[in-house]
Amino acid sequence: MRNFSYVMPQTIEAASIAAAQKNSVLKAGGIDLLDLMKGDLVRPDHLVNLLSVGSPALREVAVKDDGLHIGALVTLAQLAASSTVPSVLAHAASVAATPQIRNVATVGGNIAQRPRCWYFRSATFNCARKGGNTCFAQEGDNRYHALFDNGDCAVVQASSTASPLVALGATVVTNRRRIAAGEFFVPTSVDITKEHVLGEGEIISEIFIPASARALKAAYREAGERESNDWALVSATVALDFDGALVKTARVVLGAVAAVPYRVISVEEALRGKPITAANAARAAEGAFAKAKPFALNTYKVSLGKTILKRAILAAAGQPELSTAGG
Amino acid sequence: MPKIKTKVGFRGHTKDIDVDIPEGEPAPWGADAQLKHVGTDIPRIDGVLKVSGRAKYTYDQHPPGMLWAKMLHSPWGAAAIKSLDVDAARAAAGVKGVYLFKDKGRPLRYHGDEILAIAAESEEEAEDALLAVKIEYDRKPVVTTVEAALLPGAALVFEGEQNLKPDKPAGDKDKVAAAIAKADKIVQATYTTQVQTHSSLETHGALAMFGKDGTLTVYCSTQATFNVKGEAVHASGLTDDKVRVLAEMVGGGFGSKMSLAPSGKAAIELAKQTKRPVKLMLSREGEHLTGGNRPSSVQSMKAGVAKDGKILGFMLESHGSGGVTGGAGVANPVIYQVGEKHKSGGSVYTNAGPAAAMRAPGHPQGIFALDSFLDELAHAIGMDPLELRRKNTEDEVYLAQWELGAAKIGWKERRNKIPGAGAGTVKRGIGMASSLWRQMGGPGTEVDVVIHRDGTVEAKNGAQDIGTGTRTLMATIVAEELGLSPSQIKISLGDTRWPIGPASGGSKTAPSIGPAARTGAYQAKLKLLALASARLKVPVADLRMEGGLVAGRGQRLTFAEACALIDKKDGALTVRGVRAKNYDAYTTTSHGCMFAEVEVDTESGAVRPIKLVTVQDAGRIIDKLLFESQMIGGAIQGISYTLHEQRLLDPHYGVQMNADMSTYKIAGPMEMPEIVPIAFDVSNAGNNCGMMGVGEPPNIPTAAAIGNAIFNATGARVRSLPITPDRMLAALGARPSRRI
Ligand SMILES: Cc1cc2nc3c(=O)[nH]c(=O)nc-3n(C[C@H](O)[C@H](O)[C@H](O)COP(=O)(O)OP(=O)(O)OC[C@H]3O[C@@H](n4cnc5c(N)ncnc54)[C@H](O)[C@@H]3O)c2cc1C
Repeated sequence: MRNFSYVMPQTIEAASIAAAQKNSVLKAGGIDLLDLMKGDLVRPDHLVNLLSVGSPALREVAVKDDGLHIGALVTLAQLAASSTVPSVLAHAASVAATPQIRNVATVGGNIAQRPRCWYFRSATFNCARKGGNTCFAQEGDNRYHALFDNGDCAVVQASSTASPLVALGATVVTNRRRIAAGEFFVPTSVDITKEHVLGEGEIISEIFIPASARALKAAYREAGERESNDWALVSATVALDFDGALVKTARVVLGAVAAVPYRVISVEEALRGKPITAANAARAAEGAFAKAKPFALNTYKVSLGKTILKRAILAAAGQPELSTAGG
Repeated sequence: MPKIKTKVGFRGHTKDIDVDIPEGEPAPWGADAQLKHVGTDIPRIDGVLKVSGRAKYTYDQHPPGMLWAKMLHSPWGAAAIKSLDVDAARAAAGVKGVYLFKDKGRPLRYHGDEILAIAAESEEEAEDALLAVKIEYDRKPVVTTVEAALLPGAALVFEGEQNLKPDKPAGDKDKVAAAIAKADKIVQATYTTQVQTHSSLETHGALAMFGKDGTLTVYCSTQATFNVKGEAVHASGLTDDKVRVLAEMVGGGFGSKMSLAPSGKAAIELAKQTKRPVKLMLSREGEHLTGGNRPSSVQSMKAGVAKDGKILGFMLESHGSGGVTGGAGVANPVIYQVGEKHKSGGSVYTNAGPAAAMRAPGHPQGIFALDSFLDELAHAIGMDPLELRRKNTEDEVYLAQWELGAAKIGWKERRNKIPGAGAGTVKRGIGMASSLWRQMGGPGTEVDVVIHRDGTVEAKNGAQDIGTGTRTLMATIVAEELGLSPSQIKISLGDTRWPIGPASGGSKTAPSIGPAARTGAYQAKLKLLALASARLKVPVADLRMEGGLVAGRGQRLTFAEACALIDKKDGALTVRGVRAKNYDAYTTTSHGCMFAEVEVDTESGAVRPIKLVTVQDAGRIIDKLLFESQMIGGAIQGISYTLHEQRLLDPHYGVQMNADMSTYKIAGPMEMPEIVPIAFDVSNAGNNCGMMGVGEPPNIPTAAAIGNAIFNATGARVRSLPITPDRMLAALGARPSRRI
């Protein structure tokens, strides 16, 4: 790891000024950042440690009339253990990474983490996301890569909390503005060199979840190769607003299938006005992947994704996800 | 040589055999031996040291003035070094030495191939200096799989040498064809297995220190202190008496740490250059790339089976790749009688890191193919898979172990009579597989047993304890012989100043050191008894050492009182116990089997082992806890191999994409099923403890047992490892459609 100066600001304002200097980066828990620095992918001259900002609001989950204010430095472990955050978010946080990582990783850092694509993470490959000309995943080992909008760059959104936040209609609050969670992430069609819209010196101070989200029935489901230490192969978050037995509105967001938390509007519309049944859920899940463009090694993510989405829909509606009958 | 009768075998199957006991040796512990410590639960004597972090590994050695060294590896699967300039690196802060493995123009044949190492005042400075090396590569085409390497016109890994190194075919093809022609069913299948990297917790590496007195001391993370010593003598140019190798604790050794390795060689060269102690431990990435691996395999089998379950003929063609090394053979067929057989194939070079022996080399991959294929044969003739196995062996130990394992897993009650017939999305099933290993311990090992006048007892050997519990095992055996308790024995291991010991390979450390320790303790006992006999006026033959006493004919001394009789001038009785030749035994095969119950989510392809019952004989078991630790550890490593681990190389660049611990997926705590280790005691003779090693065999049958259980659960056969969700889903999709 190359040398850098270590900045310990006391306030968000000071942190912002420090982070706006040339070649500075912000560090929260440091889980992602230190890996990137060790891999020589990020070479800051100045490392600005947000953890030195004393503000308690950054570390608390506060319930107010307008909704829930989650400080940017709240850890995944705090989210997982909280009884006030929506259970869909707590659940997603609780299955991310490992207990040790969850104790350190912050929610701000979690949604701002960089992609896990192994070509991106390898200093050997000067890939398109790093400013090169080639997306090596297209012809390489793409078993974990994107199914949608993957022609120029095939990274997937790795954050477990991102999809639930989008589904809950959360807002990312920074020292400069308020950004709808759905607008926070940058799709490959817009820019393949960055994952979020934050500018230099812009700092997430909190994640806001509106009070209206309380009425939603929501569930997060994921499939992985193992439960310990692992990212999801694919995940699905479904948030439903019911009018009696019928769906009034639905939010359907897939994780690990595109560079951003991937909202499937067509499925949201298809579910509207209908009751949730096993057949409806299966049909909706089928439709969600109609436009998938799998690579040589990740076609399995399509069938896996359908299963996971079907289960998330059923789980959100409080219905059994697994069949106990039939072969 | 005295001849004695000893009782051997296992419960219900014992017999007396005559064995020749080598001179100076105690008689073997027979089936009816009454033992106080041996065979019980003895906690590891170094357990507290380890869990409290006080145990010192090579990594933990920091002598004053030590430099840190780091290695630069090839970033590409195949390349030549076009230009190399280390001036800036040499001038970088803290840098004291540079050692070149390969200079300009030299070929690099795999991602990870060693280029150079740099020693600096701090670890960080050494790493920064690597970034200052100016190097350009000429990238070359690569071959990364067996299939690709065998294609006509494939890139050659070694210039002028074919990628395929064929094995000499064994067996008579015509006879096999004739036998198969008589069969009621003929079955054909191809199985493939992945490359598993060693991934020991402690990476390869060494600390080298030249002394002012012209000596060289090397701490090395090794499973072969004496091999390393030989290589260090060679590398340093010093004489044998000037070189000392230590391995107090070793953080994992599954076959890859048999030598000084390039890391140790570089540490010695840099220590020579800089006249400072130099430590070089591989990075995690370097360990994945160059630390050794279990080769891949592609095994195509064809067999004919009669309606009654007898296998009449068996044909195997097997290719595997150990990257730039050979050694990709598989243990297939073994265990079962398969009638006429023919085996062909060979090792295939690819642009990938070198293979190394890995916990039962050749066996997990061979048995995955063989024991899965046996299930396919059974299925083809509609026979219970266990019944088919019974039809193809006469070995009474296997037969008894299978009965035991089957009862424990609930083979009769819980197995699906029709594979995949269970209801629901999530299905359960049961499967089994077997393993075979050989007793490989033998002469060439000596143990010093020292009884001090103050009553303390020591046993010493220069070999290493790689975590299997050799210290505890020695203490247990010496304590048993001297009538003391294991905690009273001080064990010294891992220092070539002490007597010669084995390399830890082939599961031979325990059955080499154990009997030598017993011989040493026995001979020391005789000497002590002679002193006690003179004092008590009781003949030696009537004296016993038990419970901390020397007693006979109503007379007694405490052990301490007896030790006080040792000559003041000597201060101690020292005996060198020499490992005698092996003699007649009940068996030299160690048998094992595993029964698995798994759960498969048929929509997501997730496979979850529920319970593994693992049955193993190891001759006489010295310490039940150590035995169980090996059994459980083997099963865990087996699960990881079956369901998770695989080295993934980019097909165009030969770069390992998952050379870290987050994408090279090793089973973790959440993946653990219930594991039930069952010690199958066999009284064996063969050596004075009647013992065999058990480090390797428990790793062997897991993949086939789980694969067979998956088939029983779902009716889908996965013929490739690891069985990740993508493969499971593909196999489920390929199931013949079935209506029940
Ligand atoms: C083995 C392993 C498994 C993992 N599994 C999962 C998983 O299953 N699911 C998952 O979601 N994640 C997983 N992770 C990733 C981990 O959760 C993230 O790295 C972590 O959440 C990042 O949070 P942090 O606070 O450490 O961020 P840091 O590493 O400190 O920062 C990450 C990035 O965010 C920026 N940043 C941080 N805070 C702010 C802020 N307040 N304002 C603006 N920018 C900011 C930083 O500049 C940096 O670019 C895993 C990681 C490992 C090592």
